[in-house]
Amino acid sequence: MSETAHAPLLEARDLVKRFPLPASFVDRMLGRVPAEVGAVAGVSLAIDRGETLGVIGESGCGKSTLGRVLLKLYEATSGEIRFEGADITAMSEAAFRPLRRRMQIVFQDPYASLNPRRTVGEIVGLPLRLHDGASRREAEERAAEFLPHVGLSSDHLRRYPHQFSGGQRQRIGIARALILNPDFVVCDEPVSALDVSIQAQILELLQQFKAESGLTYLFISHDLAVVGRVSRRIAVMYLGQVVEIGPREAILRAPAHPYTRALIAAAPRLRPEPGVERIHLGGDLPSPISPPPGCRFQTRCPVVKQICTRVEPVATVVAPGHHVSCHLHKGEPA
Amino acid sequence: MTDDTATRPAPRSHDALSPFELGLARFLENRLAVASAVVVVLFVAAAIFAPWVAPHDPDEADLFRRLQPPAWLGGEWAHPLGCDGLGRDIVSRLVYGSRVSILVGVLVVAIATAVGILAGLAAGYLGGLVDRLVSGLVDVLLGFPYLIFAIGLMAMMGPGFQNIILALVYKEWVVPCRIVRGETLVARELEYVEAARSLGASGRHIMLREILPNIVSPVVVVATVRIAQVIILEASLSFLGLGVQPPTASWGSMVADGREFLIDAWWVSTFPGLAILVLVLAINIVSQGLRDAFDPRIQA
Amino acid sequence: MTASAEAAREPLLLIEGLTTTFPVRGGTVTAVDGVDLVVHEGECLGVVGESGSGKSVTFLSVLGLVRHPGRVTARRLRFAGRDLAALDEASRRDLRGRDIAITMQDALTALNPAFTVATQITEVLLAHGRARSRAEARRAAIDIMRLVGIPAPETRIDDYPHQFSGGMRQRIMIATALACRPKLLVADEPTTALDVTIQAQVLDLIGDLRRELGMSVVLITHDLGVVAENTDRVAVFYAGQVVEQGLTREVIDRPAHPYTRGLLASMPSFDDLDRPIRAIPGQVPDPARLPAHCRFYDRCAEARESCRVPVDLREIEPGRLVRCARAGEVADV
Repeated sequence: MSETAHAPLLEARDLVKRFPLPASFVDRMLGRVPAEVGAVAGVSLAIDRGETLGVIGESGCGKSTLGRVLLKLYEATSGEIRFEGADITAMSEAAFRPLRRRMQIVFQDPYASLNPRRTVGEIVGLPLRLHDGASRREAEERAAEFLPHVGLSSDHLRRYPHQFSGGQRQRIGIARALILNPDFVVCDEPVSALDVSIQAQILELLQQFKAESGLTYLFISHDLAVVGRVSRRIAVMYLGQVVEIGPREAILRAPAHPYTRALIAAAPRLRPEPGVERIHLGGDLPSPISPPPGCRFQTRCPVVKQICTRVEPVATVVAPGHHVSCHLHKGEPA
Repeated sequence: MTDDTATRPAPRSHDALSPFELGLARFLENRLAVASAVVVVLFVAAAIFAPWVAPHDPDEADLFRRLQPPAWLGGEWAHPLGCDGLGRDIVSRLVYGSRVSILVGVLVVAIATAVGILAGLAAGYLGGLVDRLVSGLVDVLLGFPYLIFAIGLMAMMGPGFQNIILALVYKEWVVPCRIVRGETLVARELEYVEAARSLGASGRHIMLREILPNIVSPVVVVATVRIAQVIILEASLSFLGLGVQPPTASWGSMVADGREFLIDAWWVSTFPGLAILVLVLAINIVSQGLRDAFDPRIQA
Repeated sequence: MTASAEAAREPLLLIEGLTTTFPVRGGTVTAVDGVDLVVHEGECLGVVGESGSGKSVTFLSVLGLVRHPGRVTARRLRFAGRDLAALDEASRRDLRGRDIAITMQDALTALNPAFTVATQITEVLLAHGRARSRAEARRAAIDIMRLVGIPAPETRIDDYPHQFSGGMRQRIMIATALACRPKLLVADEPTTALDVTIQAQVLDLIGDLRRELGMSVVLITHDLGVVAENTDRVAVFYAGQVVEQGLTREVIDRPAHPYTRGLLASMPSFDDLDRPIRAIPGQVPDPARLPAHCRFYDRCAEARESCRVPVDLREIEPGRLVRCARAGEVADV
């Protein structure tokens, strides 16, 4: 097999994204360096063509920012992003533009993600106008042909987003992301805003596209069961870092990181196993402006040790393809 | 999975309308606003068709009719609202004076809104240096009281129609600019803007085609209120003798003309004053109706 | 049977034939349609349904919190042996907060941002005569904050709501609700805005407090997992009606209504990751044009022509109620 066949579709190395906090007038006068929020604090991962990598974590863990940095919607502070082996990190917007059609995103909020002043035809046709130079009529015609693929009808073309239910609007967003037949799609909590019975419809739709055109997904969610259902591998994020990554079964059935264990224990089950106690995580997420030294999870960890307060753990291999960043595990560095 | 979304009937009657049609339908339900809109339209029509509407030449002085009272107070029906200190017909001067007021109001606000939208979009979307420059200028201009600022400019540039427009636009653009900048800052973070960016849309496309259509309602609503404000400002300048120069009729200068006769011939000042009041009030009611119909979020 | 024995067997809250309607342009929206429910002393009742199913409006109606022009009617509405419908507004207000308390989904908007936590909790205590002086109220407020697990309540009591994290704010709202030791706590989506680890903390807290204070809890949620882990009985809402009611364990293990079955089948299972999920096709009916027949008819895989009739909630076994014309035939598939 050739070298490129082994190269992942998308790869991130030591990716960091910090947002400066708005500096006060006094701070600026005094020449103080503005404080920064480290939303993504050194993430490395690789996604193979055709796979779905699930990213799980609680609000504020940086999972949505990670997705946007990978698509260059936010500029990375440092680190490297490679798409098909090519470094895209420092590419200018103009140079990157042709790649945009191959890397798309489906958003969480079916209300905020559609421009209320545009018809469905204009929304779904926009990618064609931007990338294929399609005329208004052409774009609308092709949008009409595409709508049935997402379970909508071409009669919906001239309607406005407010005329649709949440699930239908999510279908419109999916049509916009997929009409150019991209290779890589970030799904940022695509079903979190929807009712349970509608969630299943949207998950089915996403799965169906993947089966038909070999899409690669980065599937971001806070819902373990949803991520477990759609992903082959799962990355667990805490406070801007991937604390554990591995095959779905390993993460969900034999979690190695205490945070992953707590997350799994806290997820409500339909058939709770009797006698299994929830692991209580004390306190809240620390502020990402000043994360704790050493291990970022030490303030809430039920099995915290002396070393955790001083030394930042590095990713260690616990099983093939299963890496964890925790001092509990001794092994080869990943 | 074949759900029945395709065959689902539109749930509500208003659903088939575009956001604009929806707003229009709501506006037409507001009777007071519609009545006020009719008043505004009548004023505008009178201004446009002044030569046909006005019974006399507004500048024709007739000293025999000096301070002639309104028809019902012993005047004659040829001059229903009486005549001013030079014996000019007040009705005709009101009709011609509306041209100045309305034209200044509309032109100033139109130019200011265009400038304000561009500056506000650029400041809000691009941020950085552009934002600091625009916002700095806005802050400086806000530091001056409007009327005194305009008086100062008029004193420097000299009176005249063009200069009035300039003197008012100099500061007026600040109003739409601040609104647009604020709305743009909010819209910039919305996911549909992010979606356009992820598709590789240009900054111009995003500003003009994604953001602008969504912030145009508050801007239009505010613009209508501002027309009323500018009409008052123009009247004030003309009242102070800094506006259009005699003999051109303007409501402000007409009020000023009548000052010395307030006791003996109240009608000379009162009718132009009333004209200002009615037009400004009607515009404000229309604008409030527009706000309620198109943009329930913002407050006066 | 004597009158006193009758009263002793009466549930804490009894709702019969509750209907709430809202007038809209050219019609009426029926948000709640003939709901019958009981809440027993000391139990936790789960109320589950999708958005717009009427689960929240039902309890807002019971508490008299439905605003004009909404209209609430009920055949019987009794709480702790008193007829709620006969109460005037003042007595109802007194009942609210003292005997029945409600917590809302969004703690940030439900707490007043302009007042400290101290003010908001002591206000409730003083208004309902549970404290005679400000100082006494403040002491009681600190106690209740400690009870809901807020660290250093003596100092934190003077903070404003925005100074707390999401989970802590939810605890404060629960503290405000519990200040008067109510007999019934209605928790409306108490954890929807929270992360799973925080959700677990808050749900455990509500469970502990229920046992400690001996109160009843109504847990309104859209999450069947939350219901399964935290409630004794459950009522499933669909399009303004209760479609199934019974012991939580039984409803989840042997769902009798096709909607409940559909809901369970559409949830990804944590225990069997590869079990295919089956979506319920279609959409919830428009509340302004509800069909006269079974409301799930259009989406139901088991529907027959014979289902096109109005369906009542009927008892298929003791304590187990189902609103399905075919309940007997298709209950155990």
